[in-house]
Amino acid sequence: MAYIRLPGKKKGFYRKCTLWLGEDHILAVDSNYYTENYKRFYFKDFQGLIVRETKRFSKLRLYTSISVLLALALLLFAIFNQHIGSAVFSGIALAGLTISLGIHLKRGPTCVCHLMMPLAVHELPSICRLKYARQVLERILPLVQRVQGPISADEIKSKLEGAVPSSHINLPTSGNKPRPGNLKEYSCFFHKLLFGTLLLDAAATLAQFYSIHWTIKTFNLIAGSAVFILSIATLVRQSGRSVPRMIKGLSWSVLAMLCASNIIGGMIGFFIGIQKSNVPQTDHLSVMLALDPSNEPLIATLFTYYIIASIFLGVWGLAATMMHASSAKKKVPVGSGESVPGAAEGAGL
Amino acid sequence: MIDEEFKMAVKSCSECGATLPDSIFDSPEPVHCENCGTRFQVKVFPAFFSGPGQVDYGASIQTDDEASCFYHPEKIAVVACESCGRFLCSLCEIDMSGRKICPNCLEIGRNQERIEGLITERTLHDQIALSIALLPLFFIFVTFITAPMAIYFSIRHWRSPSSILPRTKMRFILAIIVASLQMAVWAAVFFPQFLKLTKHL
Repeated sequence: MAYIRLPGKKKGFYRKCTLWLGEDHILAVDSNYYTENYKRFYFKDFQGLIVRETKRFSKLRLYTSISVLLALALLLFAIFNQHIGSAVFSGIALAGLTISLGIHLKRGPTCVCHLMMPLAVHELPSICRLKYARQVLERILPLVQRVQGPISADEIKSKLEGAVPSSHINLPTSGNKPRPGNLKEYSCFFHKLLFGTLLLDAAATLAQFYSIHWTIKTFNLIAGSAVFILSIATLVRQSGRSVPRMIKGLSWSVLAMLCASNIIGGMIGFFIGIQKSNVPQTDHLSVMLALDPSNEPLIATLFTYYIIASIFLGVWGLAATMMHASSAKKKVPVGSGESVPGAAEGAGL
Repeated sequence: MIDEEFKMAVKSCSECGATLPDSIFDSPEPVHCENCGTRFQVKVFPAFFSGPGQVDYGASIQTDDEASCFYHPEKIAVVACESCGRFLCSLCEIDMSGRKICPNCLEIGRNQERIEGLITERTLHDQIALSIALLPLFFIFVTFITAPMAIYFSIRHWRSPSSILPRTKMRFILAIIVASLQMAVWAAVFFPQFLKLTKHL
């Protein structure tokens, strides 16, 4: 069977969701790098399509714009201080961030799309922008109408008149994501520890601008290692537990930031070690450890980015975990005797 | 009833629960919820209003000369399975893209991936081959082992079923080329050593 690709794609670190058009159905493909999983939705079973705009677009626009401004400020700072290495580094970061902002703005507002089928509602993750939703609707509408026949807006309104709108519908919302059952409750202890240690690490890194005393270096090394170990422990801990997606994303971001800064830092340190030709090759590690950010502009730029990102992630993560922990405490335990609004009506009493 | 919930769902905002304006059903553009401002676009199809379909359990046999279903001997056969030829009652008859088949053939077709409409997962062997060829490049010495592995894997799975979506053999070809180049480099490194060794012997 020949499939034609429909607009829209959701791409993650190891997962990609796409939508394909078949003869009598659409095919939702969820693929990681090595396998593809398929779900078929036949036109004869289509009951409805609900597209809801989300706030992700404006949030991402805000964060990326702030990052662009920060990178621009660092670039100007480097130019005024004639640090060519830092200027190149900040220029690359600025270019990357500006391009990603441009792409984000061009793709337009974000949304979630739910397809109503008999007995179940399915999310179509590939339709994550309103633009794609409109394009997909334009493509599939005539095909569904060919199978099911047309229906006018007046007919829909008259047939829906009997239904009473209610707020306890089981459709997922931005604050009420569908979760697989049997998720364990979790107090976010490891997350708090991770974000707290990240802030300590940022402070230790900042202290290196003023002194490279061995105690500060050692503390920074221990804090950095602790953040790395804690980020792994947090990722293990959060899988299969009731943790908001935002906090999960922040944990992944910490690990990504650590990996990126270590790789870039290692490369910079290595090249500086090579430049210092009087140093024997075996002493590169000690040269890297003794690097002073106040004398090495590239290291200073990297440290600045690391401190800003650490404070940003640490404060945001701590605030989010605190809020999650307090909201979890406020939840009424089952069997506490308090009545749940609407429970009596639901039971037909 | 889930249908009732669906009916309510399309009329109310899933963010705040407020009633959505009627214009939502005929608007080509998303419509704002008057309460919370969230934009919605709802499209409802005729199947939304049709109730659950009637199940045909098949008629019982009245006389001895009537053909019976292979799986339900007390029911009248209405069709023969297009795959195995067994007689089927209307309960056992499964319409699979226009073909009438029995539950057993459906199960076999699913397990052996003979019916494309029932395939739910596929392994991308070409992607694996390319990874075996490319990823070890970061740890150069491993390529001594992984390069022949990548070539073997590519040849072994050249005809294995792959994605049901349009896909070329380009990844397999690329994996073979990259792995061959790695092997050529290893040969270039070892061949002079080998020649030296044979001279000594």
